[in-house]
Amino acid sequence: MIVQRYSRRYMRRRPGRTMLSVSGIAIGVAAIFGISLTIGTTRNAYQRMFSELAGRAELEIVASGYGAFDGDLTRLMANAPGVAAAVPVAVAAAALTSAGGWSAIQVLGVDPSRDGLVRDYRFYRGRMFTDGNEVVIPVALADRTGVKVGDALGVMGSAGSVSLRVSGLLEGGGAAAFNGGAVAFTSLAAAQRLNGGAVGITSIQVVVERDARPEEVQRSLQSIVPAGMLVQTPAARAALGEAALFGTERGLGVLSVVSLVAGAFVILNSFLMGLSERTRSFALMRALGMTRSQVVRMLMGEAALVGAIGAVVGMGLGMALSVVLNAIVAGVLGAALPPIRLTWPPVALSVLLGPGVAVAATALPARRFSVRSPLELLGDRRAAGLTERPSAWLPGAGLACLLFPILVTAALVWNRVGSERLVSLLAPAMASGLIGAALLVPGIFAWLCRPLERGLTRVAGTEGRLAIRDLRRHRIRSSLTIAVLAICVVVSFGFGNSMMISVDDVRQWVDHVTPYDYFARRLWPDVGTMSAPTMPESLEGVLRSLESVDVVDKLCWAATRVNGVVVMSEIGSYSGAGPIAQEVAEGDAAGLYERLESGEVALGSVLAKKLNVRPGQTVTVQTRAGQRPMRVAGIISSYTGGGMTLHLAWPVGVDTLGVSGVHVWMLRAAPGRRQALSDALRRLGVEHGFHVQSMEQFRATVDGAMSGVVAALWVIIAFVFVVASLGTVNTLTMNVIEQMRQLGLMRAVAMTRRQVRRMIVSAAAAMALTSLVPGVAMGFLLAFAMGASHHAVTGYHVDMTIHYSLLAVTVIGAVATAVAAALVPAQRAASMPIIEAIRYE
Amino acid sequence: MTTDPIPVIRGSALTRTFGDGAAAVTAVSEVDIEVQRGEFVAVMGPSGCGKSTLLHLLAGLDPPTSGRVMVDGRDLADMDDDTLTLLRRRRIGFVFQAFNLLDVLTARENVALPLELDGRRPADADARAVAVLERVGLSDRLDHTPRDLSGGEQQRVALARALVMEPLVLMADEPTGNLDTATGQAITDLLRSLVDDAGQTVLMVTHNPRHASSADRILHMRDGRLVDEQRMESPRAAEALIAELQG
Ligand SMILES: Nc1ncnc2c1ncn2[C@@H]1O[C@H](COP(=O)(O)OP(=O)(O)OP(=O)(O)O)[C@@H](O)[C@H]1O
Ligand SMILES: [Mg+2]
Repeated sequence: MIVQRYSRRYMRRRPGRTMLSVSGIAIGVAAIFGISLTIGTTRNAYQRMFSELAGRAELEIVASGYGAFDGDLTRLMANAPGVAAAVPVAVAAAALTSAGGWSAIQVLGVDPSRDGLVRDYRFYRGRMFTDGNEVVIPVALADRTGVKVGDALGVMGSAGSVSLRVSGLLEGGGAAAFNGGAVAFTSLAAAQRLNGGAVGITSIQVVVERDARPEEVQRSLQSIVPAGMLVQTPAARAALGEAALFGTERGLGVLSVVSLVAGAFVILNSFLMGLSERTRSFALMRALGMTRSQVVRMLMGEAALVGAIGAVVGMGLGMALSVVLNAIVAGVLGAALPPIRLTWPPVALSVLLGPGVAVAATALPARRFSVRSPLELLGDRRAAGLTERPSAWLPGAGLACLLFPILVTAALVWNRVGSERLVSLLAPAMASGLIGAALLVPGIFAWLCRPLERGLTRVAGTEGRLAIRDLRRHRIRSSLTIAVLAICVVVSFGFGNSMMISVDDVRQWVDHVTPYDYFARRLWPDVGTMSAPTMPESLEGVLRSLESVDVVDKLCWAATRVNGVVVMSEIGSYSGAGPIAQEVAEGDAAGLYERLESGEVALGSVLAKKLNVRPGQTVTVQTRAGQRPMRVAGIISSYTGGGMTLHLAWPVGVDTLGVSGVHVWMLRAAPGRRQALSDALRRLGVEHGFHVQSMEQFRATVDGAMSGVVAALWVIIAFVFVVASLGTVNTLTMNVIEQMRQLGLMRAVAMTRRQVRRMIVSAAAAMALTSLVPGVAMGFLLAFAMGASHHAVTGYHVDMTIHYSLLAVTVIGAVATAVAAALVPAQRAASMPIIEAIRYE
Repeated sequence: MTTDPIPVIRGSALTRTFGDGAAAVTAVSEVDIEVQRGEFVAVMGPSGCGKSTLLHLLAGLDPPTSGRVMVDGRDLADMDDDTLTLLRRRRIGFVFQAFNLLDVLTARENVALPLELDGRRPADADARAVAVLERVGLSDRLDHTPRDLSGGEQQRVALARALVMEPLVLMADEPTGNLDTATGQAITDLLRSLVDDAGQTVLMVTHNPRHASSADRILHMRDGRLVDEQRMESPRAAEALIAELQG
């Protein structure tokens, strides 16, 4: 009790230090929490979306490419053993057309007489639809669009625009939450009509009998469904969306680990300061009967408390971070992600990690501290050398820790081991590397002392030399601050550089692959479902007949399976070289499209990597006529679908996958006729129900998303530098306090205030300069490792360029941050009354 | 008394050397010392003669280079750190010359701390701390922190804390060193009354002959050795001693 009170009062007496410790942990936790919340929300979003849609159904039967199939199967399923109920669902991707613009909506065709067996419809107002002219929507959607019961709702499906009367409004939750609430329920026939008369349903949802085991029912149903049909859990559909998020998750994962390591160093630094400041108190407690384990327990208790507070603060910050990240991810993917939802795993992780990291970072020094005898502690204000002399094993351990990321990077470059496993090693490897670099800092500092001293003496005179002497006297404290600054440099330069490379890469991709002037589409498909209303192929004739048009190409996306893996297939017709040749990563670019037209396929590089397939080999594609072997003509670096893509030529896609509509028309104007084409297209758009987007608009959208990424990068870098500056303030303040008496003497003897200030600022500059050595080196390693992992995952090469402007910003930023941070303690030291300082104890 | 009782403290052939080679300093050299139950012993000697070092050895705060320390018949050399710490906690009360108190804790918290470290219930520990503080005359300063207490009051809190575990022996290293004569005398009188009223065993280092004269026995140290011993049989002897020492 008293011991805890002692700890608490001590922390309150040193609010700056406590705040720093807390912020160290808070930053790490915020990164981990925010990032895992973002990832969890986006990932679970897809799983949850499909589970909620399925209501009580534990299983669903789908065509393996998620296409339409004959609804007669429903009766067979309903009568199968172990099945309590089986209901048909036909999903139509559509756009809600209102004066304000078009927004994506999923229209679910259901059988109103039986659907209640699977889903509950809780009506806020109105009633269930009774025929194919009526529709039921969530009340939130109605509010958003200003629609009331009895109003007409304009819906644009693949078959064109229809008007449905709203018969009822649903309360939120359950199926009404599907697709972020952008959902409407109507009859099977109406949904099929929206889908362009494609007869058939898109899934059968199955409720299992109370005493039957779902897995067994799944097995027995699988044995009776026709070939090409699949019995799965509703959440299994999330695979496509999850694949698209993989790359983003990887980068964020590395970032969160880096932040956590930085946080650990910050807390270690302030912890050691707390120890050295309280040596006498601990000596006393030991003398009057505190055992070693009681000392350790007390120190660990303090660390755990700081960690717990840090975890709480960090979770708050993390929430904010995740909102920002979510918006960025949504912007980059062009998908409508649901709002962040608090889930238990990230909370549990943070609650464990906050105190856990705090305790882990401080356990060793606490133990070493506790074995000092009371007299030793009494005799030495500075924890009997604990915080002064770095141990001899540091450089060795540091090099050993560095070996891990170097080996992982090397392995990624040569790519001998299974790449996905290697990539998952990246985050721990970087953590190990950062720790290694930090362990080497005392050595680097010792090695740099002489040149730094010479340089600073030239710039700042004697004050510079005195500054170096001070830093040397507290080598561990200085080294930890340098390590924190170095981690900032790593984040800023290394992480920033690899992010900039990706951003440049996306921008280049936009420039390369889109030799078109205009896109015409109803909606861009969303990444998670790849569904959007299509346009009839027959429109091609109309478009070609425009005299201002030169090239008309088309694209369509549909889910399918390659070697059993769910992928997105991109079916396109390209005139001339077309964009696809620009993207070839492996295989012969020149003849690629001809080969595709002859029935071969191309694979997205991520998929090829995952399946370990090369051009010339054969893959098994799930077609509407069952499994079919197809030859791989080439590998393509694609940004769509996270690179998990199958590329087919239009006729082949129509033939094998049975696609029938066009998602996007891609058009090039005849020379000098861009404006004419634009006008003509806009006119046609009104008539046929599509929107026109110019290449510039498309590029601006991508640029906007990329600017968001870059802005987020700067926010993160600024955030990290703020922490580093707090650490610098702390270290220098501690040096000032410990040397009060000496500083007082120096002031009394001859030193002017300005000289005192210059001395302290010099110390900060020296730490920042030292931090650049391990920071930039590790930054290069990180950038290189991320580049190599990019290659390992995606299978295509991104040029490793160094953004020297970023390097310059980092160098200037590190020095400026440290110097700015030094101003506070410098002022404090310069303005203290001399006599008081001399008497200071 | 037919048999010699076991002395509370016994040091035999105690030697403590700091450093090695040419820089070695022998702070305590071949000292034999015994303190009996209920005795009040003072140690005197010039600065640097090894008084503090001797006290540290006897309190188990520092291991001797050679020789042995027995507390209540048990050899400290046989104890691991935890046993030794428990011994300090329960059997030995220690008062330093200055900086005895944890500055963020109040007087009663400082005194209750050893009890709580020993696992007593906080309420009991507090009640006991208050009782002991009353005994040293500080019942009106219970909730003050050290910075709000005078030097004499601080030392009385330290004394209360040393006494709160009812130790076998109270060791005080110049408890009056930082205090003016009158305040120092009050502390010494307090120690004397503890010996007389409660049979407390006390071992005290002091520079001040007047304070030393309150003891039953005075040991004189010089250059790390015990060179002389005086018994204060009567008040008169004490007066004489003071006169002699003050020359
Ligand atoms: N930790 C140590 N390391 C080296 N020498 C020490 C140490 N502690 C004490 N000494 C030396 O041992 C000798 C005795 O010191 P000690 O503190 O016991 O003297 P003292 O009699 O208590 O003096 P004072 O009256 O000034 O307190 C001194 O010469 C001192 O310098
Ligand atoms: Mg002394």
